[in-house]
Amino acid sequence: MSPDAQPWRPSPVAPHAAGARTGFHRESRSVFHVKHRTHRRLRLRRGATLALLPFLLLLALLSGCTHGLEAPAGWAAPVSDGQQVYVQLQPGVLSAVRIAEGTVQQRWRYPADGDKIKLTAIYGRPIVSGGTVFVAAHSGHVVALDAATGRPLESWRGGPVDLQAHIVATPAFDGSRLYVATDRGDLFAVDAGSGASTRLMAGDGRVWSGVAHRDGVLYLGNLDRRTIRAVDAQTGALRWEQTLSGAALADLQLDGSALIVGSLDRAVQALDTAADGKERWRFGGDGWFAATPLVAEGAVFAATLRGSVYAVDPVSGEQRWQFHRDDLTVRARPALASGVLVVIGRKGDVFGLDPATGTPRWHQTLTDVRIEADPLLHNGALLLVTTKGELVRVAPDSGTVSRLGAAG
Amino acid sequence: MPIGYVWQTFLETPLINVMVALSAICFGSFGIAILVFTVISRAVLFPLTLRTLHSMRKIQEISPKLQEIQKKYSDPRRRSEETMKLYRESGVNPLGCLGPQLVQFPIFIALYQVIRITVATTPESVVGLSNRLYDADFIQHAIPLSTSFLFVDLQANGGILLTAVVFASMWLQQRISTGRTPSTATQSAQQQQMQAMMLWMMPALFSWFVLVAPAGLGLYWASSTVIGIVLQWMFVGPGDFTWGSLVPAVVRRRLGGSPATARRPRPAFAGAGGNASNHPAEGDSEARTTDEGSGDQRQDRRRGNRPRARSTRPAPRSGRRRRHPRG
Repeated sequence: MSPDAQPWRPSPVAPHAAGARTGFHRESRSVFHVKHRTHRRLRLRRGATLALLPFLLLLALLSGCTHGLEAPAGWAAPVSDGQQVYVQLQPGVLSAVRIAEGTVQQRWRYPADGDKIKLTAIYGRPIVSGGTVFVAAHSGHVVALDAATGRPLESWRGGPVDLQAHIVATPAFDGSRLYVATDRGDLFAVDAGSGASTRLMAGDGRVWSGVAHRDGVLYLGNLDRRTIRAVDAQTGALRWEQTLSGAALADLQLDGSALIVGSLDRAVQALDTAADGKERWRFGGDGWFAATPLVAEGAVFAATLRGSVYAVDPVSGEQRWQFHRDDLTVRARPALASGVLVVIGRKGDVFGLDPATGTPRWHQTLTDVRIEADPLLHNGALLLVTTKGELVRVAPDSGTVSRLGAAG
Repeated sequence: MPIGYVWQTFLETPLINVMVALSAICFGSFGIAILVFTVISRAVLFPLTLRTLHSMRKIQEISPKLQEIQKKYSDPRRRSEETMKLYRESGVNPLGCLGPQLVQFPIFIALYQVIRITVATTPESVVGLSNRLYDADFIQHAIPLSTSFLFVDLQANGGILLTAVVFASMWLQQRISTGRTPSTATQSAQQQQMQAMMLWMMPALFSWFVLVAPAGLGLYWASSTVIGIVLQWMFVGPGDFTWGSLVPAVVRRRLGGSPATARRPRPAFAGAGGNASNHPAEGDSEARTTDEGSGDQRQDRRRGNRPRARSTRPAPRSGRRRRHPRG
């Protein structure tokens, strides 16, 4: 031991090396310990990194899974008041456009930049009445807009009405009140003048099919309960309820006293509204009837998601003809214009059929589109809107297609 | 053939139809369908699970020999060779435990997609579901499914209760598994870290996922884990796990009970809840006494500041130490 050796003090790096007696040992041991501990730390660090890697990989995989959730996009059908067309060109935004000479001019959009409200998506067809556009959005908001400016009506003092539930079904309108059914199955009456809302009926399942209204009676299709209900429009009292074997997704159609219902049990049914919804006839198809049936020219035209279009006798429910294409899936309601039944496929196939026989007259294919919304008959042509917000004009007699593009 | 097509055609779409068919059979309840599916999938994977459990049991049996190897050989390569040799001789596959997990993982991912697609929260997804269903009446007519199960909305994100169940069950499974593997002196610091991470991070990760994913997935995972625990308990036993070990040591001491209620002490495992060693040198890899060349040095270090008189050997001179100048 060196006489001038300083008393050893524990190294801050290696405090447990305090048992050393000599300078050499002190020196070399603490160096050894520093090195050893450094190596150990490095090993631990490497171990921790190696252990973390599978977790990070797992985390990335699981995070990847959470992407791709389908957000509601909306399939509101465009409507027109003769001057403007009101259409959802992007999810949750209603636009008023003018279509002239093959161009689309946007007049206004709601919500506009700066509006705090978010409508998420619009499924229900807007209702135009007396210079006002009523919109029920998936966010649960019901809005009354000035058709000229696109701003919310000032008479609705509380602004847009929030019903606190998603809205998919197209509301019914009797001239003074809107009848709005929600995703929870609640039925609300909203005063068109003031925006005051009243709950007519508490819900017990999703209502996605459009509400039908006639003579003070509302007809609702409950998706989860698989029922059709007739409800008093004033009181909300239940008139009758009919259970179906399948859920109703398409809008309900009234044809005289018959209520035509397309459902997910691959059937179209006619219910007798005068006889507590008793089934008049039932027609079975090859797939879900998600498109609203068209009642016109003494026939019920109904299309499935499995490639078939049927013409059915509205009295007996017997099939008149069937048109089938394997790759055709139809969500949009068929349209009858210029004596041609126009059927629009989701993937862009458009067929012009003879309504009497179902024989194809023409066929067009729109590439790179998806069409879910019902078409609008506008100035003698059919106006289609794609999920990307593109407007397409189809001449029903010739099948000529003009892609108008997005609103400028 | 694109992998997306294969995935959809051979895994996702059949699984969608299986789930819808099960729902139709189970009174339209998607929740019961998930539980039935879990039981079926665990039954199908049972041979693999059994193999894993047997493998775990064998590892448990050879753990004294493993400890011996760890003590005997300081050279990592030699130690690894001897360990692998022992595994071979005993017929143990150390990676065998990963089998069911690896098989289950694609099912888990596919099931996530299946639940998301099948419960169809948006009208578009209901319409899209049409193309995925087989052309059978009882499948086609089953839509929409009832997604409410025991007050849980299976299409909504997993709630706190379900998340807690998933966390607790996964933690318990990990705890039982880690209690079975040879711990104490045989484990390196890396292995201990890995175990601690497995014990807490895996449950935490899956709980987070349950919280942000549809509750149906949480239901599947919770039920699958509970079945796994039952199988493990039945075929391998609980290892050193006791229910008493779940009670924190502080509480046990206050209650006057034995501080160590586990079947055997687990000094090297810091994350096991109260059984961690307070003496890092003990149970560490440095505690080896037969390491050639460095054993005495390590023993010295273990003694801390105790006198060196007990050692009769000369100071070890490893190559590493000789590099430093003397004096």
